[in-house]
Amino acid sequence: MESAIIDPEVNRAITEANAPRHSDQSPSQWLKSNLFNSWYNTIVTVVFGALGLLFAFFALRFLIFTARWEPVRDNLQLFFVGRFPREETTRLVVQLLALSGAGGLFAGWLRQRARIEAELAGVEPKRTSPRELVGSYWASVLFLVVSMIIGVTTFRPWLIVVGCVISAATCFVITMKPRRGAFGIALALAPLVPFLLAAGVLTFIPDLSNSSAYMIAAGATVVLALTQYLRNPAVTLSAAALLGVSGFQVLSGTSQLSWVFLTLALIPGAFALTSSSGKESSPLPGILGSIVFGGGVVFYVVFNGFTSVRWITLLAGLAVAVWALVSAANGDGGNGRRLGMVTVLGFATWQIGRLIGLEGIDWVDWGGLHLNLVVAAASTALAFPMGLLLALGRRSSLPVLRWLCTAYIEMIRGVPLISLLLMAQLFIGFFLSSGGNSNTLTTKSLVVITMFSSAYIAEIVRGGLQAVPTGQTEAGQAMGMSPAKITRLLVLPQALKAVIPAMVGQFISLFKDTSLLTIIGVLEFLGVREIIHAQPDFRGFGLVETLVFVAFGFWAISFTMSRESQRLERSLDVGAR
Amino acid sequence: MSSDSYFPWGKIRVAEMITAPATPSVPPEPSASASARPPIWRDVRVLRVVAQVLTLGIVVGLIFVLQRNLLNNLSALGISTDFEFLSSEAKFTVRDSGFTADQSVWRMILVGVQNTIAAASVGIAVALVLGTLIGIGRLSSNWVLRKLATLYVETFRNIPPLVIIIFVGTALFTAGPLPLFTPTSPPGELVIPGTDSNFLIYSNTRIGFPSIMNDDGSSAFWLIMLAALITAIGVWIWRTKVNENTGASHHRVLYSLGTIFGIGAVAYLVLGGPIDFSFPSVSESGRKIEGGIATNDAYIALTLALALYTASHIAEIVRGSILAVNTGQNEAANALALSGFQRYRFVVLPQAARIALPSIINQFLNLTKNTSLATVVAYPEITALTQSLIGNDQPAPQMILILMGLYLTFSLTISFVLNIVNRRFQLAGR
Repeated sequence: MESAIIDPEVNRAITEANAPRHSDQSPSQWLKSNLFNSWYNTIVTVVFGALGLLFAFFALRFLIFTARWEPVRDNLQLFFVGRFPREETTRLVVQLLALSGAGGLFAGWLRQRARIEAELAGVEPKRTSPRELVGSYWASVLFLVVSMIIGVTTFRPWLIVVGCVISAATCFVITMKPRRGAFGIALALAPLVPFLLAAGVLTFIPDLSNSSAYMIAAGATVVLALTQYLRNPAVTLSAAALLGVSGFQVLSGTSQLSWVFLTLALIPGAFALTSSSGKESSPLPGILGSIVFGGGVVFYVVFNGFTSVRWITLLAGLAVAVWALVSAANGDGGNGRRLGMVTVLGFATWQIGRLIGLEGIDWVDWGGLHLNLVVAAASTALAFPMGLLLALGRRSSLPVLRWLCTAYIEMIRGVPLISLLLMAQLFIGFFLSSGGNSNTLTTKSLVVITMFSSAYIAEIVRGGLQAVPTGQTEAGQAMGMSPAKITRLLVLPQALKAVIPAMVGQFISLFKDTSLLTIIGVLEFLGVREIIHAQPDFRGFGLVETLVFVAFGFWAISFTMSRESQRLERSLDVGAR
Repeated sequence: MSSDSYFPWGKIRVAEMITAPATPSVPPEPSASASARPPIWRDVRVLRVVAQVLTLGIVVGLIFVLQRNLLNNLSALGISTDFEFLSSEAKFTVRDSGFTADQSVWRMILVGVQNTIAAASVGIAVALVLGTLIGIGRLSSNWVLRKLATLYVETFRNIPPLVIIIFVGTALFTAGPLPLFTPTSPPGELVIPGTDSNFLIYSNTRIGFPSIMNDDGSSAFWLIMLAALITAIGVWIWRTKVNENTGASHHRVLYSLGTIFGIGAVAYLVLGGPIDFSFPSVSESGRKIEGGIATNDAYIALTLALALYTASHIAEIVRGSILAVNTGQNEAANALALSGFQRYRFVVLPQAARIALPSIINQFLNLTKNTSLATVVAYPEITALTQSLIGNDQPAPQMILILMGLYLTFSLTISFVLNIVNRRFQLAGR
């Protein structure tokens, strides 16, 4: 429930101090100069050393000898995925594989970007030392290994882990420069790996026909091959997002809103590919795009039937289409082209989703650590656009807009998350005319957590906006750019880059806050304990052990991410401003 | 090259064709003179007003719709929508508070507010002291101390406060080593050597500390002590002035404490012992603590856990702020041959405190908001009581509204007071 807002000066100092460094003293010299260089230092060393050893002794004795890990061992699956239907576990495997692939692609994207930036600046690209990676990831790996050791008799996910590693490694490898020789041929064939992996695993999902499974696998291969061939950072980012989103679609199905997320994932790559075709020489694409967008809106409303909300959508959509058409005719076809592109992508993803026709697993059945991660990730992703708008609104020159945004941000930041969650549990549905009975508790909590985190993200983004020197805005004005263009092209890119580490910090605190869901009765990682200790075998037994396991899980993931955010801060040079 | 080649009538005409029918009253060609106003749809002054009115209209409309839906739904379910329930009976009691079940709901809310303040104030004090010490410890030149402090920070910072609260509550009080508190198994007692008064009574449910008890003439004594405090502040200012004017050592801490204790001792003797220590003892029935201050496991678990959690954040802020102090300041202090302690006390810490204060205020706010997690150890602060009241058929929307209002008040009060402190504290012209 804490905000990640610390003075940038303080943050910078911490980052510099955390940078790894080496010493060139011999061990005995080191001991002398660090521990026993004066009488009070010697006392401090002895007293605190003894305390530390005592603590370590008790902790290790508890962990290895006295602790009874049976409640954890017999319920590991409950801890990780809650009451997810056992026969649907394959979906989780697919999700894990897809997410590891997305992680690999994302790392590849960072690398490609760093290389391009370094080329532009004429310097050698920075390399991530293995030491730093180990420093970040050891905690999470330790947690996984410990879970597997505890659950060696009840829970055998070795194959999944191997699959995830293969998936992540393949996806990372295909973003690298092509090479010659046998290794190069192997690399060129790398996109086939996910085909085999996906085709193999997907056929086990009960609701998915085999032909759909092969279609998905082929689609994944095509996307990855394209990524490998184009080696364009935006395309890589899109591919990463696409894999990540499809990982979630495997759980929530391909009907309903899945096309929105898939379209959002495809946008960066699609825009980058179409805008690279040269200068804006003809308004035709812009005009065509506007018309396609308008037609798409009309089609959507007519196809789904008219309601009051859809009428508003129709009018707003047509207004946007007309605006794009006018600006295209006036020589600025970019907006129309982009709108048309989004329409085409949306239609395509919608049709593909319908074609695959995968039924989803309801939120209610999700749980455990999986739910914590999903809720934290989903609400950060949903809250980010809201927070961005709120931050811009708070810095707007229009007083009414500024007051409204400030009031929202300060009100949300002034109340604890639990009061919002109680609202979600008890009566948030009453704000809808239907009474909101059809929405599950998880959905309602996701809504309030998004509301909550958007206020914090707004403050983070505001900090980033303030860090952009005024000279940038003034330069934009001198070039005769409109305020909207100055914000979009000059201020936001710099502000958002500066904000990435703080956003990771916000994600960590949100991830920790998802533990509060247990208070309103959602079965997340901490709440699983209540079920376990209601089992006849473990009633009032192993209370501390299960809690230690939960704390370790939260700790490992948060620690890894906070190390990553420090590394990002160093590699992005955010502090150097 | 331009759009003109596709539209022989030129680009302005297209815009006119589309926009002209909507606003026929506006002349198509704006006046050529520079002082004339632009057309109304391009006039920034007009657009600003329109945008603001539109935003306000949308927000007000949204709030109106949401409120109407809420009222409709509530009345359909037969839930009252007014605040009359506040004066009805609460129908249940609050642990360790003397609150009886026939007292009203708003009195129970007051009890909750009191408990929240009790937990937050002690938690903030402990967290600040602990956090500052650990933050300085993280910068120690002693490897053992530094690593222990790092271990502490990295552990507590990355575990959710809720888990820490449950951990302290469970590991210390439920499954822990503390004795029970029943007539058959009495609690542990720490006796002050040479007397039979208890310094501490500890068990898994109740904990007792000594406290100060008022006797006859105590009000006069406290008034004198207030006067002594004011005098001590005067002495402090006087000694500072002496130091500034003559350069003589000020010893203001010594002088001020001497004033307070001197006056206090005289007043104590003259008034014939107006105050006394009260030591905790186990009652006849063996179920209660008599005398002293009695607290319970829930309060200790909550306060301790939140202090431990927040201390890890404060430690990180303190460390960062010390590191953010300009290196030249350290070098200057070394050049003046100040000792390590003097360097910290007179050069580094005052500047670091200035940098750290805004972030530390933020942590105080977080701790106050985190007291709302007390419901997992059943400490009756305002959120837990609100939950119990809603469970006892009090209307949820109004209760949550009151709850949010109270927390908003806490937050705004703390940030208002501390922002004034911060403003006084910052260097002018920065």
